[in-house]
Amino acid sequence: MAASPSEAPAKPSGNNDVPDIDTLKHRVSTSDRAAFEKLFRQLSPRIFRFVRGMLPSDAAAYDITQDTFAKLWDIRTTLDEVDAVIPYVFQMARHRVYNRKRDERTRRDNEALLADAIHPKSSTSPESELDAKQLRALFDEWIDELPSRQREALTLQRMQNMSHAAIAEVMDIAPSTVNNHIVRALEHLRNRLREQRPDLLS
Amino acid sequence: MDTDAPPPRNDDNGLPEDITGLEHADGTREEYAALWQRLRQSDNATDAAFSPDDAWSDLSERIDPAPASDRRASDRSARQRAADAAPRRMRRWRAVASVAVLIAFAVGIGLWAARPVAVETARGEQRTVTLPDGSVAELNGATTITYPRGFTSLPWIGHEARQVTLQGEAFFAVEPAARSFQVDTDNARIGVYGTAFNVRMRDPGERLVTEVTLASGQVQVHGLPESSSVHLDEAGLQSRVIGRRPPTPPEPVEVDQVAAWRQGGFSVRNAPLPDVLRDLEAQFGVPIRLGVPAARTDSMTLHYRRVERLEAVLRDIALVQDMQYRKLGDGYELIPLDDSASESP
Repeated sequence: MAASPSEAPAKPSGNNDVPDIDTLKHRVSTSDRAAFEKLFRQLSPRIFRFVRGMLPSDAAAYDITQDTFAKLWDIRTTLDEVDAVIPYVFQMARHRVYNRKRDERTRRDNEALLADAIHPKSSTSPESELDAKQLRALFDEWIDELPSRQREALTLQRMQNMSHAAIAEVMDIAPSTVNNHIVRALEHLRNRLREQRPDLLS
Repeated sequence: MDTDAPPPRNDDNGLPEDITGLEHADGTREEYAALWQRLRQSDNATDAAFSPDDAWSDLSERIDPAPASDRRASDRSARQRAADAAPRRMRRWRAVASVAVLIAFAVGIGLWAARPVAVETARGEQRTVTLPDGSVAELNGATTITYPRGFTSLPWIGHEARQVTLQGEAFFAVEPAARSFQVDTDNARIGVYGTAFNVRMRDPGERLVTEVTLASGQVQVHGLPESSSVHLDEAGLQSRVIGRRPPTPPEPVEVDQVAAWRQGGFSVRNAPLPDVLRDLEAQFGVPIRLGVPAARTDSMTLHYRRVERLEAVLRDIALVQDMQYRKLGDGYELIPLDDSASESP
């Protein structure tokens, strides 16, 4: 993402690994597939993480990520009119998330992992470290209990380089509200951890 | 995002510095730091589940299928040849079958289109809905609006009015158009002439109240079923429909206050305490119990341009009502002052 080291103004179609995002945008708008691939590789992991943060299913998050970029390619010729591509793509993904009904089936697949995380099998000691996947199954369950706005703010906050102002722009709300959503979400998660896995809080 | 905005420092797993106000939340800073670290750790599982390489190869197939024109052409000629080979009677059968399929399809679409669209917000959730005519409804928490898909009853046959049913609270900005725009609550009908207004319907069981406040343009308010009507034609006028009675005469109020919820604020005017608490619950998604008989409480007026913390509101309410509040597991409770002074927060 136009990360801090490469904030130089648009270089004329440099062969650099990380071309400026606006240069990419312009090249994509002229139907340059190579530029689109670069943009995809830069942005898709973040979009996937964002969508996955809002839906407890890898498969659903993958589909939405793909749909988002397929649509982006469809409308490529209008991209020059878009000021900031990155928030724009986040918003495209976000609309797709809100338009989608939750995938009950995949959530059920999570349940085995979840049961394991909440009540560790006797063979492992209760203090045993959970791996990232088990941890995620725990959080999935609790994050799913949050109002969607809180869930969204919390997910965006975990992106690198995203200020509250940037989050507010994606969510189309006031920056101060962003902080409230995050604090409330964290409070909820902390209470759940306290009830169910206090060992993870220390 | 904005490359010029200074990114907050959240390197590694430390709690980002731009999150403020945690010191007022339950739990210690250390606990939140640990929680944050776990969350970031769980993100690793998400990152591991996505391979940009695989995803790109899927996507590039999808956005660039084999040159389409050739394939379609060859398909068509193959179909043509098969059709030529088929006996004539068979062809007639096929025609009948395809007409039947088309009819079934059209009926299906008709049935689908006849189903109204319902948009619902949970407690604590706010949402903006763009209606089929481009009018916009901003929904407060615990609100449902229903309208015919595309404002039509069957495909291509428009309703005579753009009709929306509301339970809860919403702010409408209506696009001017030839067809009239109408909002129905359980006890009131609001006829609209290209305008912006706030509607709040409260249903505390025994006393149904719809409150209409005009922000611009004009609206007509009727009780339902059938009653005399009141015309609001000046910004800031409000009329209420209480139970099955006719609407109250227009009365000036502060529109900004009535619609404060749109900017994260909260406002009630001379409302019974149980209604105030219900509104807070709907807007902020936190249950609030009243541990005092409603008859022993007073109506009250409150206005906040912004509610940063729900507890600040509860503190003010407690002060005015001569009570105290306490935190429960999932929400709050208002209790008498003297009763349990020892448990006070």
